[in-house]
Amino acid sequence: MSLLRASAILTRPLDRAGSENVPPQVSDVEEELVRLFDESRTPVFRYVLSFGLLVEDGEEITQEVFLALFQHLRLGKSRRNLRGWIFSVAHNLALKRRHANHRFRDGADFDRTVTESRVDPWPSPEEQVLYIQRQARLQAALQALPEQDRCCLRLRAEGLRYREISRVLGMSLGAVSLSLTRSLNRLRFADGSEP
Amino acid sequence: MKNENVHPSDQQLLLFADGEITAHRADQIRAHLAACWDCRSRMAETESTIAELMRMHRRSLDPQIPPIEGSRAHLRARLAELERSSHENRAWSFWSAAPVRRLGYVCALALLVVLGARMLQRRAAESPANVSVNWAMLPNPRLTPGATAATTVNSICSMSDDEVVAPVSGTLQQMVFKEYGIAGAPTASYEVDYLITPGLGGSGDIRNLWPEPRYDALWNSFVKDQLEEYLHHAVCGGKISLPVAQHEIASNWIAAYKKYFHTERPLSAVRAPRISMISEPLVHSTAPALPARPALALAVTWGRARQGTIGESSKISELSRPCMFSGLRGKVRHRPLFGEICTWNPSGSSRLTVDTPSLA
Repeated sequence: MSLLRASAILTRPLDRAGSENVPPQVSDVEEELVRLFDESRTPVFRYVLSFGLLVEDGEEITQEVFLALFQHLRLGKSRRNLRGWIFSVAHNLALKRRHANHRFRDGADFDRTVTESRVDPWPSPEEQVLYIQRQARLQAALQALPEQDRCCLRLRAEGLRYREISRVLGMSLGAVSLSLTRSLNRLRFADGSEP
Repeated sequence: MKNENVHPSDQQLLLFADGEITAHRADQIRAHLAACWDCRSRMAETESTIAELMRMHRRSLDPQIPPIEGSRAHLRARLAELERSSHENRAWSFWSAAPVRRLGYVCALALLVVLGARMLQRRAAESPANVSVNWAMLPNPRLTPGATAATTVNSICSMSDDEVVAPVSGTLQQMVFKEYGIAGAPTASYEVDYLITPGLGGSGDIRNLWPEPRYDALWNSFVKDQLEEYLHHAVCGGKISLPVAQHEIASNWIAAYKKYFHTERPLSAVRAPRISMISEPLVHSTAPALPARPALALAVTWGRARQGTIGESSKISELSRPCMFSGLRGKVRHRPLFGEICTWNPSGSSRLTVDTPSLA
């Protein structure tokens, strides 16, 4: 069972066979871009935010990503692995922004406040406590992972396939697979270490 | 079927779960899982961890993400701007043109230089001050592409007047001036205005601010205030969607004004008064007779505003900007239209009267 289904459009090898180098009409590109934006904006935004950036930074980076995509499409460049391309640009911009901001929340990924403030109403206080404890254990295990492993997990959580992740992070397919297995084993251990 | 009897590794199980394995190997693992409780249990634990991880990921980040509509409108505005600047650049791609076309460009350029020089001479003679401010009728899209805050129509329409006309801090104003290369410019000449007004979900980000001429330009901040008010009411009245309003005001507010007001020129024939006039009584043909005691008359516009009923203790300096009063009678909320004139009559029974000149 896969985590998320890959988008058929974003992974389509080439829309117009043989016309890769012919710049398409601007209006067509714009409409296509808006469609891609509607499909991918939220995952991209979420991925950027998971670097611990502010929402304003996330908004700006997301806009920059899609403006870059517009130029990419308008120049008739390759449409292979477009989703990998989008996340690759987002990844680089997010790292750059985080570096510029000097605003590390010491490796903040999935917001640590989740266990403090955002809990669903549970049938009983006991269940709520168990939920919070479980989240805290996962959170701690997650933050103990190397950054590359966390990036792998986050990209997979956004539905990217292994080859797309390998492109974004510049790793081999085998390394992506190993990283995910290693991370999930650690999380699983943390998750199940207490009853 | 030897492979079916060998327990798959954790990595193989994950590859299988993620559909990243060959069909043949997937069949083998499926058959093995059907027979092996131990591996099924490992698989279930992995799936459970993934599910929990996903839940944590979404819940922590999703609430922070603003609605997509505003972002989409912003993107469209930036695309339009990109396209416009790209057209301008193409117009100057002289060396990439064919020789015959190049000759045409040379002739056209020479003609433009001559005409431009004449125009500049004439304009300089007529109104030297205007030349310096006309550039700012529309913001520089690179510096001020517009920025929106995470918001909804309901929250916009339930905003207090304070929020709708949120003032820009002095420090931020100076930053904007500096950004536009006019550091130290008189604040009386420019209003550091929101491109997308807070009343339409615009944010206080510097990318949403630019120095807009107050009086000297035909399309000045007072004219834009009319459009802002119109769009705010149209959005709240459900006539226009919020993303459309944001897009139109961000991409070219003058074009939007022309579109919605069905005019090629600002509706108000009389430009907004200069600040120096504020402390003097304004005379309007239909205004009530001014009291014997010196009264303050204020040109009212929708925009940067002073709120609340003016009390006797109000100082001239507090009133020396376009204002919006909250009431005609007591605390009744009223948002005067552009061009309305509020007269403060401290000796009268009604402290504020509003006169509405025809805008047609």
